[in-house]
Order: sequence, then structure tokens, then C-alpha cells
Amino acid sequence: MDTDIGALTVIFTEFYYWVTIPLMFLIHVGFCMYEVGASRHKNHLHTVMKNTMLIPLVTVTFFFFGWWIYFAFPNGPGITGGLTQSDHAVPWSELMGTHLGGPGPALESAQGYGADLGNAFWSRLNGVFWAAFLLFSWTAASIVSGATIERIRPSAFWILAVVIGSFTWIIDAAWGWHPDGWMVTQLGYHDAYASGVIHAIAGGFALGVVCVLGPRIGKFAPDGTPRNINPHNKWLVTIGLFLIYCGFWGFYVACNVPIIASGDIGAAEGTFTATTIYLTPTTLSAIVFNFLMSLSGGMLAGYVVSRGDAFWTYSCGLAGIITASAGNDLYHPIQAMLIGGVGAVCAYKLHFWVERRFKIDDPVGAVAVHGYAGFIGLVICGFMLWGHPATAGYHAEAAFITPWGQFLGACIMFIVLGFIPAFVVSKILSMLGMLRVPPAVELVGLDMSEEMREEADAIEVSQADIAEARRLGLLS
Amino acid sequence: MSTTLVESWSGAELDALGPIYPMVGTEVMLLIAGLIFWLAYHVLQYGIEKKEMEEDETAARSAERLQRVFEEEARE
Repeated sequence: MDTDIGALTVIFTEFYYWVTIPLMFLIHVGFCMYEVGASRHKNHLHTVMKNTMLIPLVTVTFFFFGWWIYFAFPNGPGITGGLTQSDHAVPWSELMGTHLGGPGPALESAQGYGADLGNAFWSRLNGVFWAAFLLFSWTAASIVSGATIERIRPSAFWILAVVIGSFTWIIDAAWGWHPDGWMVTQLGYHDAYASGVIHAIAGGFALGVVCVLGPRIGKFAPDGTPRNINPHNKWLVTIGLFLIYCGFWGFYVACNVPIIASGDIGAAEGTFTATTIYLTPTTLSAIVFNFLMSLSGGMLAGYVVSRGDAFWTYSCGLAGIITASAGNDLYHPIQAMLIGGVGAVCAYKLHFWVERRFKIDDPVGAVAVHGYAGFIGLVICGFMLWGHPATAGYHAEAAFITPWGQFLGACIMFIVLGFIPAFVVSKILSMLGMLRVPPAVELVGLDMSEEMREEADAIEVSQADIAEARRLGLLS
Repeated sequence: MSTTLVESWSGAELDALGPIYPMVGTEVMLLIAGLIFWLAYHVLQYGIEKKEMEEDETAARSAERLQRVFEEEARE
């Protein structure tokens, strides 16, 4: 902010991230629509409220501790170092509120991570960065929501939503989606548009929950054959997925740093560039090419493999993007398309295989579309970008992308930070009798008490109308 | 008198101003209040949900109501 160009860069960046936030809101609107469409009439209200209320819960907890975790945990802690000081991100920081960038009474100048950028930088960018990351948190929790519909207690889901939305996913972001995260510097982990850091972890987490939660009543025949509990409203489901595509534009753009001086990222001085979250150069054009081509690859393959099923064609479009996302900063568009197609077919086939083999009831295919596609995408990225530098130029020792680094990274995302915490927390909730609704409630529907109240209201109004009609002599 | 650190915008040196929300210095107290508000939600919501589940279970004991639910489900 010391020079005109510096001030313009900061204010442009502030506006850029702000724009991503309403775009990413569409992802949540889409998730709510498709979950309601996929649920049965007797569970509609609970389904939408379960997903809706994760918004405030993840938001406040992300303010209380999620944001701090991102800046404090890049070293593990305990893997490559200790906790990183991050004055601007603690919830009592003066920079976590309206601030004009000068010295404050308690915080003359923030120390720790990003201290060289100064109060002026953080005062403008802290909130928009926080919100962009927060919307990712909602997405992670919302992915889990879909897998648990029609039988989880909302109270249990909201605890799980806080665990993934404000704790485990942001640890993985600190480790593998941060320019100095230990997975990046030690493993050469590369995941530019979050195949792993959002999708694989959320898919793994969803799998951990549904393993404990069990299938919906009636999902499997006594011999173990799965029954189709079809979406109640396929139109709503597909439009919901369409909205998620729209929101993904914001998601992708929020994964980039829009403008940065080349000298600041360790390259030769003299130009500006957009970068990934790792501060490695890319362009918006590259990600537009690759987003659309991987979406198309997924949709084309999904249509064929599902024989034109609307729900799966849309879902496979999403799986296509998710599979290619790890390397979509660098792929050629045709590579992105083919990778998207491969991921979509794998996700589709794996969903039904796991359902039959392990009796896993995932009503919206969240584990497959996000978890398996994200995992596969990370591994493919390891082969496709083998040897490309994973770290920014300012790192004295560069780390390089490898298949084994990506595979290990995928396991950390899907299993270590996804499946295991979800399984453990769900087990505890289950032992306390807090995880699943009672069978009688599941049968009669989670909305029954609301419906009974509405029925009583309607009868009361109807009786009042009848009494008035009698008074007017219209009824005898 | 102002609850913020700003008394007037006239001639204010914006570069020299830091936080301008009201009651600067109470951040830790605000955080404690925020944490209580969040945790209270979970406790109160659990109570509401428990009562609601009991009502739902009572409704499920009505064979006629269950029948209606199943018929509607079959039509979906």
C-alpha cells in the first residue's frame, strides 16, 4: 500500500475475492436443492434445515478457530516445525474486524505469518480471504450432508459439520494448500483446485460417517441387494447440480491469487502474474479452458456410462471437474477433458460396486463424486505433472510433483483427515445414542411433528370458516 | 465522546488509524461471549430436537398415520 501500484493491487485483490464469495454461495444453494430433490417428501424440511444450519455453525467456528488453524499449522505442528505465529488470524485480533491498516492499541503491527505484508495489507484482505476459505468450509460440510440424508439426527450432523468445516479440512489446507505447507515442501503435493483438500477429504469423511450411520430403512433387501430409493424430484436435483456448476466458477477463481509481482514469488523481477494458492504461476485463461473441458469430459462419459441418466450425467460432470482439478492450472485442455472422462467413469462404477459389496447407502453419490474422483485425480496429477516444481520460486530447495507424493497426499486427505476423524466422532455419537434418528421416526418421516402442527392449524382455520359460513347462512 | 477511536473524519489521517469498531480492547470478552452463544445453541437445539423426536415417535404409533405416509411414499 506504500505505492499507487501497491494500493491498486491490494484493492483489486480485495474486490476479486469478494466477487468469488457470492458466486460460491450458489454451491450451497445447489446442494440444498439437490438434497431436497433426492429426499422423500416426509423428510424435506429436515433435509433443507440440516444443510442450511451448517452455514451459521461453520461460519462462527471458522471465525473462532478455523482461520487461525490455516496460518498456524503449515508445519504440522510437529512435522517440520512448531505452530506458526499468526497475529492477524486469532479471533481476538484487531485485524479480524473493521480496520484501516494503521497501528492499533494492542497490535501496532501484526507479527508472525505475513508480517512483512503489514497491517495495511491484512486490514483489506483478511476478511475476504477468510470468507473465501469459509465458503470452501461450507462446501466440505455440505458434501457430507448429502450422504447422510433421511436418517441422521441434525444435532449430530452439525457437530460433524463443525469438525470437517472448521477443523479437519482447514488442517489439510494448512498442510497441502498453503505455499509453505509441509506436504507441499516435503512431498511435492500439488492440488491447485482442491481435488483432495476439499473433495477427497469430504468424500472420505462422508464415507466414515455413513459406515457408522448405516443405510436407510428399506435400502437393502434381506439378501443384500440394493433397492433404488429414487430422487423424489429429479428436476430439482439436476437444477441443484447446475447451480453447483455455476458456483464452481467462484470456487476455481478463489483458488488463485489474481495479481502478484514476479519478484515477490522468487521469479525474476519485472512483471506481474496470477498464481495458484502455492504462488506458482498460472493464468485465468488456463483454468477457464480446463474447467470447461474437464466438465465436458465428465458429462460426455457420464451420459454414456449411465445410459443418459440425468442425475448421474450431471454428477459425472462434477466428477470430471473434480478429477482434473488437482492439475487444472497446468493441463492441456484436451488432457483435462480426458482426465475428467476417466474420473467420471471411475466414480460411477465405484459408487455402485461399493454399494453392492459393502452395503454403503450414499443417497447422492457424494463419496464417489467427491471422494473417489478427488483421490483418483490426485494420483493422475502425480503422473501427468511428474517433475514439475510444486513449490514457489522463493523456496531455497524446490520440491517436485511425483506420483508417490500425490498418492501419499491422497491417502492423507481421504483416510487420515477424512475417513478416520469422521468414523471416530460418529462412533462416539452413536455410542451416546445421538447419531441416528429412532427407527419409528425414520419410518413416519422426520417432518411429522411439523406436518401435524400444520394439519392442526389447517383444521382450526377450516372450522372458523365453516362457523362464519353458518353465521352468514351459507351453510346450514 | 465516541464508542470508537474516531472522533471526527475531518482531517483524519487514515493511515494512522487502526481498528475502528466500537469498544476496541474488549475482543477477548467478545470472544468468550461468542463461544458461549455458539455452545448454547447446541445445547438448546438438542433439547428442541429431543422433544420433536418424541412427538414424531408418538405419531408413528398411529397405524392410520403410518399407512398414510407409506401410501404417499408409494405414489412418489
